[in-house]
Amino acid sequence: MDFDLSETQQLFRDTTLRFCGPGDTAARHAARRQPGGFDRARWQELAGLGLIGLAAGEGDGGLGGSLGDCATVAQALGEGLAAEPWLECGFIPARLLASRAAAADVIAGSTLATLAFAEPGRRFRTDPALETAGGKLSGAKTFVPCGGAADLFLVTARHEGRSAVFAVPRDAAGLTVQGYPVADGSHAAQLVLDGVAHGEPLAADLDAVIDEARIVAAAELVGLARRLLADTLEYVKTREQFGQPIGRFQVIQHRLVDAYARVEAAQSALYRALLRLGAPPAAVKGFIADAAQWVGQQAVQLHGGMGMTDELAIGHGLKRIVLLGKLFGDAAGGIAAYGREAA
Amino acid sequence: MDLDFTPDELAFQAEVRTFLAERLSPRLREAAANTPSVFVEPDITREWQAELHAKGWLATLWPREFGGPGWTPVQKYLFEKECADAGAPALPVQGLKLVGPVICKFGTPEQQARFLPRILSGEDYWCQGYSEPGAGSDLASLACRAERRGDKYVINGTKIWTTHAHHANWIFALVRTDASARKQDGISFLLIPMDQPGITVSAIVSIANDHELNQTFFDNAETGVENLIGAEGQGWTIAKYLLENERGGSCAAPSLLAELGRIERAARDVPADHGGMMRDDPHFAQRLAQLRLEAEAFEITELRILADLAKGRPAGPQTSLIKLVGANLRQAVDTLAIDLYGYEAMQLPTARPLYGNAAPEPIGSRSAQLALPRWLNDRAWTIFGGSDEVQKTIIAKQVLGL
Ligand SMILES: Cc1cc2nc3c(=O)[nH]c(=O)nc-3n(C[C@H](O)[C@H](O)[C@H](O)COP(=O)(O)OP(=O)(O)OC[C@H]3O[C@@H](n4cnc5c(N)ncnc54)[C@H](O)[C@@H]3O)c2cc1C
Repeated sequence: MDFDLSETQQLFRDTTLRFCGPGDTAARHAARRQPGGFDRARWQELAGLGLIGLAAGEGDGGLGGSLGDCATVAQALGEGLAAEPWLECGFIPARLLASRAAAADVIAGSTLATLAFAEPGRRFRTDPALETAGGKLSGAKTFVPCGGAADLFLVTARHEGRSAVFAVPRDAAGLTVQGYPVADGSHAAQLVLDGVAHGEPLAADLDAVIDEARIVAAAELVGLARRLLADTLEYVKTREQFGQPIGRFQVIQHRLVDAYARVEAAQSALYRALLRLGAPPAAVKGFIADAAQWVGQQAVQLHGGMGMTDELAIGHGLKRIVLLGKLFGDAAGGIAAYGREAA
Repeated sequence: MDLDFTPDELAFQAEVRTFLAERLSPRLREAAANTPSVFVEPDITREWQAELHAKGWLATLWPREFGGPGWTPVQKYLFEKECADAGAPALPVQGLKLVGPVICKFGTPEQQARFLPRILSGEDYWCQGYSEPGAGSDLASLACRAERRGDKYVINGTKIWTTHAHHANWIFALVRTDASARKQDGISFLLIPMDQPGITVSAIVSIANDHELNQTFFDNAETGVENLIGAEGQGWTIAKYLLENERGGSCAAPSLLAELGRIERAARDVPADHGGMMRDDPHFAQRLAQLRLEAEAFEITELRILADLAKGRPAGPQTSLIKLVGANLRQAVDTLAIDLYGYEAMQLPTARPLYGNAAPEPIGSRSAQLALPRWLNDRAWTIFGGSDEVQKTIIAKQVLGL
């Protein structure tokens, strides 16, 4: 039995943390001011480190990383508070595109691809209502992650009685893209498809990729929670009120012990999910998201007024936590589904 | 024990309702509903303030001689409740609820004559200069200095988290006038005009993209000695009086219940994942009911304090309980809203305001667009006006005798 990272995982973790740098929020702000709220140069850098290729199979021009390898990177990105949507525009497209020609450009970082799965009025459902008809796609998608900047949309649709995914370039005839800023500062998009021609569906299994994505999201959440806990520990040791560091107050110590306990439980739940033991990914992600959100709220609270500003990492981390908590279904839904299944 | 209102009180309630129906314009309602920050922008509050001022209903906490309406605690409650139900904008507290009552109680007749009418008319807009980078919860350790030179005080130092300092033409500040005295004894309460070269205001943007907060710097700023409230060294006593108003000076339950009502109505139109609408989702329905119970109980807690006040019993440290419970309930209600709207609650617009013609188009509904900025900004409720941790310590000591 061994829960240590493998040597290569340690290498990926170190590389990722180096990429994130000291996590200065100025860099994050700069990225968010770019068109579509996205920094192409940083993305190229990430791709250059092989981190997108990690998620693609060896036969598909990638490094064939395991889900555990990918979770290691996601957790490090969370800890480093990266602004880059590696899960949404790296991991998911690499898994879905697999052997398609477009995969190479995604792995190289020159094409920004994203999954268009959510539909207006269908809450967290991942089975598309949008249907193909005569080789065309018509309907609407919402909350398309980083859709404001993306070049290629992987659009889910009902096709020949099953869920399928079609690659649709941003400039496809009949496609309208409307970007809007979301919690983590990135720009999601609404898509209107009006008779957009589609080719062959991608070969990948959508539900399986979404389940993997839930686990990778959970890993990033663990990283974010760790980061916010670490920043808060640092802060309460240095912030003085009433002539002493506020970390000397017992109520603050106990609160942070609770936060620590929840972070460790989240880490263990993540490992369990990576071992494919027990609960379905949606439930595990829900459990971890609840913990991370609670830790994030405590981080804001214990920073006092400072926690309310856009200057600190705290708020950015909390907002990313909230967004990942909802992505592919929220905690209430995921945990309730596990309840139904276990019953 | 009864909850019955007298015929006079019911007549008053009806009068308030009629007034709101006639005078609260759609523009004001829209702005109030679509403000995700804690404080409403002055162009909105000025207009509503003028309406209330004309009616004589503005300064509910002030004695009648200074322009207060002379209401009983029950009338104040009924007024707040009707305003919450009608969706009236929150008024700027700094002038009306914080410094106003202080000037009424501690000011000289000259100060009262000079400042109070201009608060009522909206001519003066105030901000609060208490907190400093090094003095938050431990307010008494504040360092901003005021030195008396002839007929002026010269002020040096900085205040932080000054809400709406960028709109204000006056700031009331706690300043250190005697560095040698015991911490609390060296503090004075000073009124300082903002429009002068010695004062600079720099914006602090919130995690929800709102600009309410600022840091205010004093570099040989000046104010006349006639702008000292009370005596030198009396600042701490005055500050504590003000904080009690800040913590317990209003009724929060009606607005929480009104918000829960709005969330429930919205939930009837949000489809759930497994058929039906979110209103009927068992988990959601239970959370909604739980929060209703808490808010309903909270309403009675608030009324119990009002009833005490009406009988002339002082409210005292119970105001800490009101602040504590109200703040946490508000955050829980906000969380219910983001959980209801799902992906639509993830939009976080950077443009402001979210009302009027220039407001960015919402994804889904306007309520969904407001949910996350509100949730984020409302994290502040458990921080300002004495944090949760500070309130609990006060209650433990002063109420539970620990
Ligand atoms: C939106 C907003 C508006 C505000 N508006 C104004 C304004 O207009 N004017 C103004 O003067 N101020 C204003 N404030 C400031 C507010 O009053 C302070 O933020 C508050 O007093 C807390 O101080 P701090 O931020 O320095 O936090 P700190 O005092 O540093 O507290 C940090 C954390 O430590 C905890 N803590 C501190 N002491 C103890 C203790 N003894 N035991 C246990 N825990 C403790 C706190 O509860 C908190 O969780 C505003 C703040 C916000 C967020």
